[in-house]
Amino acid sequence: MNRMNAIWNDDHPDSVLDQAIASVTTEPIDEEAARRVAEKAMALDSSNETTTPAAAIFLPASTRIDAVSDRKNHLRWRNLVGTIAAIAALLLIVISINGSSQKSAFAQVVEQMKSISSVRFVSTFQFANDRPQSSTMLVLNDILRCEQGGMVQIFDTTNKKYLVLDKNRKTADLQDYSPSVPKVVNPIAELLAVKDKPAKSLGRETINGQRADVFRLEKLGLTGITGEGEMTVWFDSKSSLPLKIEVLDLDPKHKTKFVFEKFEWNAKMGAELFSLSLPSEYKWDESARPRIAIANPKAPATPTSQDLSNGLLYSGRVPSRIEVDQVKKHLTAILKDDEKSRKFQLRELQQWDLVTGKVRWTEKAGGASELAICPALNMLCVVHDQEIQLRDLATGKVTNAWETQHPLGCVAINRNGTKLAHGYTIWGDSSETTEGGIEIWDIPSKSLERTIEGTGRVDCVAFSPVADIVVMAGVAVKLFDANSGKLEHSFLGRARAAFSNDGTQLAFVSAENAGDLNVSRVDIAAMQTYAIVQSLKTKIGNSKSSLLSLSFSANDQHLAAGDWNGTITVWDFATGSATSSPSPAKGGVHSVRFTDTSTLASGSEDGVLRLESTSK
Amino acid sequence: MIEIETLQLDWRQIVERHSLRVFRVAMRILDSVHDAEDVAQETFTEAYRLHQSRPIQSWTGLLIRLATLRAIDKLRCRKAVLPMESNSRSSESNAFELLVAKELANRLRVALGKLSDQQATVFIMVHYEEMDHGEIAIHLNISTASVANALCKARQRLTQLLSNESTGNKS
Repeated sequence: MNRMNAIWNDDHPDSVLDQAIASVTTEPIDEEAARRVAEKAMALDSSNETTTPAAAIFLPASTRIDAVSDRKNHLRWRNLVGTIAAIAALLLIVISINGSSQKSAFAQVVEQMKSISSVRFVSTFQFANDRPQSSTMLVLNDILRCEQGGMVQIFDTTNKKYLVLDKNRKTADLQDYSPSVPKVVNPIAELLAVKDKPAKSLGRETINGQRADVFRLEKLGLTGITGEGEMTVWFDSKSSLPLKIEVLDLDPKHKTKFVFEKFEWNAKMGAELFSLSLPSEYKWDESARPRIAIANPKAPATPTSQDLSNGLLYSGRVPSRIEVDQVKKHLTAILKDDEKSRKFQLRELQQWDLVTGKVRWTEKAGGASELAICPALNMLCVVHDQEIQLRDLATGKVTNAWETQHPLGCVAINRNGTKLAHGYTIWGDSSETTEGGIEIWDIPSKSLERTIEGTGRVDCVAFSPVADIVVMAGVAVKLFDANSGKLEHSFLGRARAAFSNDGTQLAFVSAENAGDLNVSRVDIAAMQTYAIVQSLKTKIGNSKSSLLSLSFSANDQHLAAGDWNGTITVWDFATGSATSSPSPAKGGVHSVRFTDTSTLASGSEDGVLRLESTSK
Repeated sequence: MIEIETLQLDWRQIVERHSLRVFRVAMRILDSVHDAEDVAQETFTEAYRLHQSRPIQSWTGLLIRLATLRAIDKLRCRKAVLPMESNSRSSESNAFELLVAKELANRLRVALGKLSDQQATVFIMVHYEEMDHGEIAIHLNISTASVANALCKARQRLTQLLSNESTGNKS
């Protein structure tokens, strides 16, 4: 046993792992068993003399970044420039400290700031429990430039204009500041005004190998942030310049976190980066403004009969999630600001009568991110942050609510309204460090029945309509027994999945690429055998495909897929054909739902809720 | 060298080329001939169905992934303690060394079941199948950086799990 202990207590734990690996890999392999496997596998094709596979030229895959769905990678700017003002506020407010030594430190900072005309830094923004979004920010005198993924925004604070560039679509949009937008200021210019604000010294820390003096200001009403804001600043002890700034809005209705770091003060940057002129190879984006004007924009957006016949149910804020009660013909949606908007408003829930187009009710919904319905029990579930809300589907009023341990993501209710499943994701620096799982709740008792851990990122959950099976889609597609939590099956899929209405099929986004980045694959599996019975391709889009939504028609004869690249593909299983939406969205498609056997509702980033017939 | 599979490859050739590898992956995860045969059969059945419905970009990547997922799923469903199957080992080996090696191997198998699917797949491709990062990146259609990250995280996690097992801590 001493020798056993010697191994376990080894000073180099990696050697234990390597020894374990060696133990496994030196075990002999039963080649007779391998031969049996080969014989049985060959017998699968025994009916064909010569099998001719579909064209299968092996092409090296691109070495692009791991295909984590970046559906939100274009944007989520909530009052970005207001945040820059927060930096300015920090730089002037932050050292309103008491004490002579602190005042001298403050004076040093102000002096430093006066000589700075440019700065580059990294900004990370996280709204509620969404995936953090990082961007590079550049400031040159009175102009700010933000770069994130495929989007660039340039704010001219002097001329009160801002330019938005979409690098993927090669479109540009130049807009004026509107009165509703908070005043935009240059953070460096803000330093010239001094504002006393008590700051708590948190002592010294070392970050990135540099010694820093840390201060915190609480109960802030910074631009874009309510009076519950909190700011923590790390100042370089030598240069007195900020090394890192963290701003938190702790209001649970719109919990937000900004982190600013990697500052390069007086960075050298070309003037062309800050120009508001239309760059070469770009064209102006006509979709930036609403395509269709509602007759009375101040009214709750009731479409005219002409609008309805043209397939328009609503135009305004972005319908990011939609659910349909096919029996009562009611559609419920979460409405939010589009990702280019510089306004921030609380999200809303709104329900329409699909026959008349009239709005039945509208309710404020804070930072609501996902919804699910159980028409049988007149139940609507909305999640935001760590709160599950149950509402009356007929009125939108809250009937019950409770907190969860994990931040909430996607949500689903089972067929009889007794169980609720929600996915959660704890974001790491990469897909490998990102964790996730599913919580299953008993609705009547509001008690947590079980947690299924270790699933990785979870984008979507759904209950089978006919069995106690829940599917999750994220880095894989997995089926679990909702009662025991036992894993039933895994598919090589990702991101999104949907059951057919009769529960016999499961559609999901395939992990296999389609050979064209602007196209996605959708696999259909038979639930009885888990065999893949069909593999479909979406219509080609104008940019990289990222499927956000799948929906079967009421008779399961059609399947629709909504894509962030703006395409909606509808497959007709009877004819085998695939069609695109006749009225393509001018922005990413967030959600698609069939309202009956042949009418498809879709909500897209251009702020339009469409109803389109899928029958020819 | 990364293998190139050409247009003319048929099912027989695919099975001949990959059957030992699929069985080996399953066997090294499960340490049970019976279970490994089941997993290998499920893997080829599913791969055959996929093969019928669309072209496969990388048979190596697909088969190893399927085999790893199926084997890990089966491993997770097992009870904690695996009965030690009598394998034919050299009669000349020291019995205690064999015992330690077997114990380590079993602990690694249990720990492997606690990794994410991608971490487990990358770990197996690196350490069990001795593939290089570039090869793995191509077969799994991810970046080499992702391969390195997944491997690093897998090793960290496994090291921690094996260490916790030895001190009696449960993670």
